[in-house]
Amino acid sequence: MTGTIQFSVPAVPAEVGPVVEVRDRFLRHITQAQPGAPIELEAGLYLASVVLPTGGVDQQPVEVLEGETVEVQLGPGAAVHPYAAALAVDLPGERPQEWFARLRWADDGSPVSRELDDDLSFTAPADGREGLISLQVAVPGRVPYTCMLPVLPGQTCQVRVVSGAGEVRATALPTGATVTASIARYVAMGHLRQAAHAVANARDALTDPVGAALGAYALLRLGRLEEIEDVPALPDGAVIAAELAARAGRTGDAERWLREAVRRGTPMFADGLSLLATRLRPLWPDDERVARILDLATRADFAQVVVAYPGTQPVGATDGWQRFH
Amino acid sequence: VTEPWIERADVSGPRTHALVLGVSAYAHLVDGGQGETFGLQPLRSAAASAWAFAQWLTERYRPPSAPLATVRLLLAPSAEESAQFADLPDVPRPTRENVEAALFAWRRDCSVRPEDVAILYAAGHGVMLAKDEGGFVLLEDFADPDRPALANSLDVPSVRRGLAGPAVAQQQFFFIDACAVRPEVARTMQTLRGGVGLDEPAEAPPSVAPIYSSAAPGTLALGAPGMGTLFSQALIECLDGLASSPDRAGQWVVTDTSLVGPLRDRVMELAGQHGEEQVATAGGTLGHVVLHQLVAGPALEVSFSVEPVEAAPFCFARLNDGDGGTIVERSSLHEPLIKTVPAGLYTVDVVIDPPDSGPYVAKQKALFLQPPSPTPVVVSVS
Repeated sequence: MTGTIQFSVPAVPAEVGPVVEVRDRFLRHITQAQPGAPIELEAGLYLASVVLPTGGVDQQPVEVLEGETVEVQLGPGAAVHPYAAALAVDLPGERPQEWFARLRWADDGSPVSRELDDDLSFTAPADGREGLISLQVAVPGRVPYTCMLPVLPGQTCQVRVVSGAGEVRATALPTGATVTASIARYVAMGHLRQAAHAVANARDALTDPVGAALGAYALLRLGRLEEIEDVPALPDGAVIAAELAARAGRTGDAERWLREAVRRGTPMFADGLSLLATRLRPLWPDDERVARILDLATRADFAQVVVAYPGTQPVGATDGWQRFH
Repeated sequence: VTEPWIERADVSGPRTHALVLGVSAYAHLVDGGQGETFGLQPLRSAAASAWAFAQWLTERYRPPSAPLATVRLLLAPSAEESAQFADLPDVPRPTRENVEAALFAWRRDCSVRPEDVAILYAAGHGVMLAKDEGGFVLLEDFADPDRPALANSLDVPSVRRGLAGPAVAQQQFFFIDACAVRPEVARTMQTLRGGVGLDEPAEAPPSVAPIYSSAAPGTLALGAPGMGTLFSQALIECLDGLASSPDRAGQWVVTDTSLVGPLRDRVMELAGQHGEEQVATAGGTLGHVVLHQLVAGPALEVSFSVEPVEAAPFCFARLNDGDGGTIVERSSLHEPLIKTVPAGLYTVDVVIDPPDSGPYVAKQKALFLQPPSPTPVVVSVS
């Protein structure tokens, strides 16, 4: 009285290790399945579900027939713009008719040698310079808006620019069929457990500091501290190390890492800025550099994945705008 | 003030203790007020929102292991709210003195056993600091000219840090339904000190302490008079099923993690209906723990029809649950059939009657109906 199901989830990179959850007709969880690996079940009605790298969830009822093999594809073959849904959730709104953008190195405000592409993708120059890149967007007569780009040299992200109430805002997520991109979309859509699962499954493949930082934040948020093995070489790395030390009760280590985080400057991700502000406020609120971070936190949009805020702090250059319309 | 509004003495073992406060009326935010008001005006929806949440707790909250034991409720309704809600209870006002007393009594209740659950809901003007901290919620006597600017506020970060230690409730849920002040005011306020908080022991933080906030810093929380804030509307809809999903046993539950996306999406959707923008954020530590169990799958309205439409006069549908039991008896699909059924797995059988009505064939289709709203079910009989 059994049949077989075999799932495929073509839109999910194999290294992310998509897990198909299988429930019985009473919605009781009965097993997990890996794509491509057939499983045998009693004949009957089941529910199969998987979280896609777009951040969405595909759930399909499946009828298992005695003696037969059912092949079930979950999710699309390949999404044309797999980042689109996550970006739209990360920063809802309509694209402005005309706006200006410029790219700056976050540490000293100097211009970046490469511009935003027409399709609003951006690839960080691989010219030997390390550091975070910020995108500033503006419409005439309004306060510009800054967001950190989740890229290191040679990596690509997709930018989204919206307007509302006369203000212009921007966000960005990593692109490509990478674990980092999948983790970022999971986080943007609120699927923290799937993000953590992707980190755990792709630990050996996750050498990218951007993905490592995003994954570490998801694990921190879920209290799975023991799964954070390395801290990435980003400003966020110091925040993550400080948070790990603080939660382990290693106060001295935590303070040392917090000072390092202040030295490294604005984190790439909003989770990092939030954790940093939360830890710094009771310690050294009157320190000038700490006060700048706390001030930034009051303006930041913590609904976004990357650090983003009205204004152009920490730099204030006035030229080099790239026009979009 | 330290006595709960609701106290259920019959609860034994782990229990839930809630502190709920809502401030719409501000004593010093009036014409001629002498204190530093930062240009703030009284609110219209905060007290009603807190009242709605307190009612939800007392009437519908079903945690898996820590039933509701106490609710401390403090309200400062606007005149409009008092007129609209005749059943608003006569409870202490959320002044600094009262909130401090209630807060410490709540902390005492939450410090009995680690299996307990602590819930804090605060609505009013606020300064959001970071999504892991919450911020300050301004109390009814805010802007008292004889007090420091933030003295009469609730210092949520301090409360979070203060609820620490091995004996304290290890599941803590914070809902900060704050009408976030303008950015320039927030920048000033974030440097100030002195709100109502707790002693902050150097103890281990709780294992689960998510914080859901109504508005990102620098944005304005919205509310419609008589309807509560958009955040409270969305929160209660989410708790009543919008954010539910089946747990491993098939029971529909709302967890700390399942609340994140739907709450954000619903707040955004409600704000969009008012032509505004608002976002909800989730911070703190989540543990994928169950906050609320539903009695049954959330009720969903679903539409059934067939294609091609010419077949509709000859088609009849029967809806069966996953166990084969009939949920909706044979019904005509001449017009789209609209039914309200609990979320779950179903099969719909469409038969053609009379069978020789045309080139149509009977079909069976499996369905998974889930919140927020299932897409219309269209069965092809061609």
